[in-house]
Amino acid sequence: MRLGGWCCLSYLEQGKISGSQLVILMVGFLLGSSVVIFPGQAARQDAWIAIIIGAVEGGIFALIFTTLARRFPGKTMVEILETVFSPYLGKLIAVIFVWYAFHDGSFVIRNFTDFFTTTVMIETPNIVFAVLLTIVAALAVGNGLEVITRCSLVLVPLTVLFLLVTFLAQLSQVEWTNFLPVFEIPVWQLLKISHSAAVFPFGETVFFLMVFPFLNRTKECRRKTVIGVLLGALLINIIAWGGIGVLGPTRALFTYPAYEVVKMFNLPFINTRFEIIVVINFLTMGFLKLAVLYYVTVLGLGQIFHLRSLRPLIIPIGILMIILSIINFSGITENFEFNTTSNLIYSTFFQLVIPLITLIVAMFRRLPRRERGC
Amino acid sequence: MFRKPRKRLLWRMKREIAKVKMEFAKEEFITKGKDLALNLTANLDSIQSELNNSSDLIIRRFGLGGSRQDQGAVVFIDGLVDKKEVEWSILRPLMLKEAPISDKPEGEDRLEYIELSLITVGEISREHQFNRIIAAVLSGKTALLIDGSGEALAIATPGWEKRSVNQPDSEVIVKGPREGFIETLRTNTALLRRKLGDPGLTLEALQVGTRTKTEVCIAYLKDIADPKLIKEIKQRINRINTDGILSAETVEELIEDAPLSFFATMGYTERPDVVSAKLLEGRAAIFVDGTPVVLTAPFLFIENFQSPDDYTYKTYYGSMIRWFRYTAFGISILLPAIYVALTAFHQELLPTQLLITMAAATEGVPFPGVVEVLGLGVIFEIIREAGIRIPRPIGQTVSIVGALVIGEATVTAGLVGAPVVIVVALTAISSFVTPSIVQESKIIRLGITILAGFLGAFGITIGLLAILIHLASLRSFGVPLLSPMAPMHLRSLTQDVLIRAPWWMMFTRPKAIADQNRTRQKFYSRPGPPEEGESEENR
Repeated sequence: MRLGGWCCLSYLEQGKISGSQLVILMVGFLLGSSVVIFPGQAARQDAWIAIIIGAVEGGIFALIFTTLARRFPGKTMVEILETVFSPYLGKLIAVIFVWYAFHDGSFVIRNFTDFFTTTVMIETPNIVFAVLLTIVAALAVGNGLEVITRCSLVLVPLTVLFLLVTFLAQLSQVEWTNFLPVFEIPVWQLLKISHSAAVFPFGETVFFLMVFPFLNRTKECRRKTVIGVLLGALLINIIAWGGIGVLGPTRALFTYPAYEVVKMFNLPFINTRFEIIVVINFLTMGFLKLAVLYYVTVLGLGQIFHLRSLRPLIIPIGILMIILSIINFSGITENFEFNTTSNLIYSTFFQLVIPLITLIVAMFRRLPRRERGC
Repeated sequence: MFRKPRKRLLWRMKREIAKVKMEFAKEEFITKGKDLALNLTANLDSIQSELNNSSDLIIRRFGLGGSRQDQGAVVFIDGLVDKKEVEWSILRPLMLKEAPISDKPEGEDRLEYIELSLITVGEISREHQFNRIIAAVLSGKTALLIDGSGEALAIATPGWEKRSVNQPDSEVIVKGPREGFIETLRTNTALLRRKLGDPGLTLEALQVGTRTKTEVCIAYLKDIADPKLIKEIKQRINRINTDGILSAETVEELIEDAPLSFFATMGYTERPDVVSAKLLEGRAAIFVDGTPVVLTAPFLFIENFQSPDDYTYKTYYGSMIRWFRYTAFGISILLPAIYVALTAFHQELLPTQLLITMAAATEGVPFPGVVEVLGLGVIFEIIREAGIRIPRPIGQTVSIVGALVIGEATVTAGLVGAPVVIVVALTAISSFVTPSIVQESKIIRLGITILAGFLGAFGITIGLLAILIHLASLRSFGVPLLSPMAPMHLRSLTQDVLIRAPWWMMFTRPKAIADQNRTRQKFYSRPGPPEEGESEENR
C-alpha cells in the first residue's frame, strides 16, 4: 500500500525516511569504522581535541553540501551534477563521485577484515569476512534505503548503549594524568591531524547527498546533518576518552586501542571479559556504513546510466568492492599510512571541492530554473 | 542454444493456460444456474439427481392444509438441521387442516402467504434459482417447495453438532476470561459481539473455496480501522481461487504479504478478548468457518511477545514479565550458538573458574560443540514430536525415555558433555515462552548455530544482521513488521513495548495501525479520589 508517483523523484528508490531517522542513520554511518579506529590517534593525548576540531570542520563541509542539497530539493548528487554541468561533463563528475563512494566502501571492508584477521580470528582467511559482510550489505541494499534505515534504528541505539556501558565500566580504570599535557603538539600539526579526522569520518557525510532527496521534508537536511555530525563526534569522543585515559602512552603499541581498552578489565559483577561487545559494535556499525556506501554506489550508477532497476548492479559491485579491498593495500600499515597522508587531499577533493564548485557554478548559472510540470 | 526448448516450453504453457481458461468458462456456464420448474415432482427429482441420491438427503412430501391435490415438500440434510424445529415450525402449521392454504391462488401468492403467516422461523428467504436452493440445503437450511410455484423458501433451521465454548488449550492464561472460539462461525461472531457493543463493529461475509464454499468473515470497527486496509483484505480474499479452505492458516498463506518468508505476517488467536483488543487498536480480524483460529491483520512483530495476561497483571509485573519474555526469546535463538562460539572460538571470554569446570565436564567427548548441540537438538525435536503425536496413555513412556536418554545416558556414556544438556534443555524451555514465534525461532536457531560453529561471534552477528534486514523489509498489509521499533514511534514504544503502561496511560492507539483515529481516551486521565473542592460531576 505504498503511495506511488512522486513527480521529480527517482523511480529507483520508492522509500521515504524522516529527519530523525536520517540522524540515526548518520550516527551509525559515522560510528562505522571509528568504533575501533578512532580518528586523530596521531595527536596522542590530544586526540579528543583533534576530534572536536575535526567535527567542526566536517560540520563546515556539511553546511556547504547541504546548501547544495537545499538548492536542488528532490535531486540526488548525480542529478544535481547533471543539471549544473551539462549532461556530459556532469556525468563524468558523477562517475568520479560514485567512484569515491565505491572506493570508500572498499576501505570499510578492508578495515573490517584487517581488524578481524589481526585480533579476533587470526587464522581465518580475510576473504571470508569480506564476503559475508558484503553479502549482508547486499541484502540490505537490495531491499532499499528504507530497510537500511530501519536496520539502523534497531542497531544504533544498541551500539550506543554498549558504548555507554563500556565507558562507565572503564571509568574506574582511567588515569586522569594520561590526559596531560594538553596541547603538547604544535598547532599546525594538530590542525593537520584534525583535518584527517574531518575527512574520515565526518566529511564522509557528503554521501548523504544521494539520500537527502528521500527525506520527508528535504529542507530539514542541513539541521539534521549538523545534529548527526555533532552526536557522532560526541560518541567517537567517548571512545577516544577511554582509549586515552586507560591506556596512556602505551596506546602507541596497539593497532586498535579502542579494542585493547576493553580487553584490559572484567565486566563488574560477572567477572568476565567483554571485548566481544566491541567486535559486535564494529560489525554492526561497519555493516551500516558499508550498506550506505554500497547503496550510494549502486544508486549513483543506476542514475548515471538511467537503469530501470538497481538489482543487476548489486552483485557485480559487491564483488568488485571485495576485490578492490584486497588489492588496495599490501598491509594494514599501508592502510593507516594512506589515512594519515594521501587521504587528506584525496577526500577533501570530493567532500569540499566538488560540492563547493558545483554550488558556485549553480549560483552563476542561476540554477535551478523553474521546471515545467513539477 | 536454448532458444528452441524455451519456445516449446512457452508454447506448452500457453496451451495449458488456454485449457484452464476453457474449464473455467465451462464451470461458469454450469453454475450460472437455471430457475426452478413449476412442477414439484420435477424439482424434487432434479434435486435428488444433483445430490446423487445421497443417503443423508431427506425429502418429505406432504399435503398443504390437509388437502391431497396441493402438495408441498421439505428438503433438508439429515444431521445439519434441527428436526424438532422442522416438525414444529414448518410441517405442523402447514399440514394442519386449520390452515386455509387451499383458498389462496396457486403459485407465488400461496408461497408468500405461507412465508408471512404460517412459518414461525426467524430467518427465512425466497429463492428462485435452482443452485441457490441446493447451496442453502447443503449449508444446513430447510428448503420448502410447493407445487405450482417457481420459487422456494430457504428456512434456517440449524441444528448440527458443535463443541461448547471453553478455554482454548493453546492460549492458557492465569487471570481473565476463559472463553475461546469454537468451530462455528456464527457462535464466534456472537462471542465477539458480546465483547464489543459498539455499533461500528462490522462483519462482512465472503465465500471462498470453490468446493468447500467456506464462509469467511471480516470483522472491524468502522471508524477506527483504516478503510484502505479493509479494502485490501477483501481484495486479497476475493483473489483466493482454490478448491478447499479447511483452516484459517490456509487463508493466511493465500493472502499474506511475504509468502516465502518464514516469519508470520498475520496474527492468530483463539480468544475473543484478544480479538476485541486488537480490533480496538484498529486491526481487522478474519473469521473462517470451521476453525477456532481467528486471524488478525496487520500484524506487528512485537505482538509475538504480548500475552493477555500482561494486561491483567499490575503494570510493574506486566512489564517485567514482558522483558522476561524478550530474554527468553533471545535465549531460545542464541543460547546454543553462544555456547558453540564460546567453547570453540572465544574461551577467553569465560571466567576462568567456569572454563575449568566446563573443560572437565566435556572431557572425553569425541565431538565438537556444534555437533553435540545440533545432534541433541534434533533428538529433542524428535522426542517432542513423538510426545504430541502419540496417544495420551503412552505419552508418559515417551517423556520418561526421553528424559533418561537425553538427560542421563548420553552424558554418562560420554557422548555429549553435561553443559550441552543444560543448553539444549534451557533453549527448549525458553522457546515455549513465546508460543506464536516458536517455529521461526527454531529455524533461526538452527541457522545461527551452524554459523557460530564456523565463525564464532562473527557468524552469530552476521546471522542476526541478515535476519534483521529480512524483518525490516517485511510488511504486513502495508504496515512495517518491526513497526514501533523501526520506524520508531516513541509513544507506541513507551506504551506497549518497553513497558506495559497502566491502562489510564494508554492514550493512543498504535500509530502504525490506526493513524486516522488515534485517541483512546482523554490525555492523562489518572484515577484517584476526588480532590478538594471538586465535585463528582466535574470529574
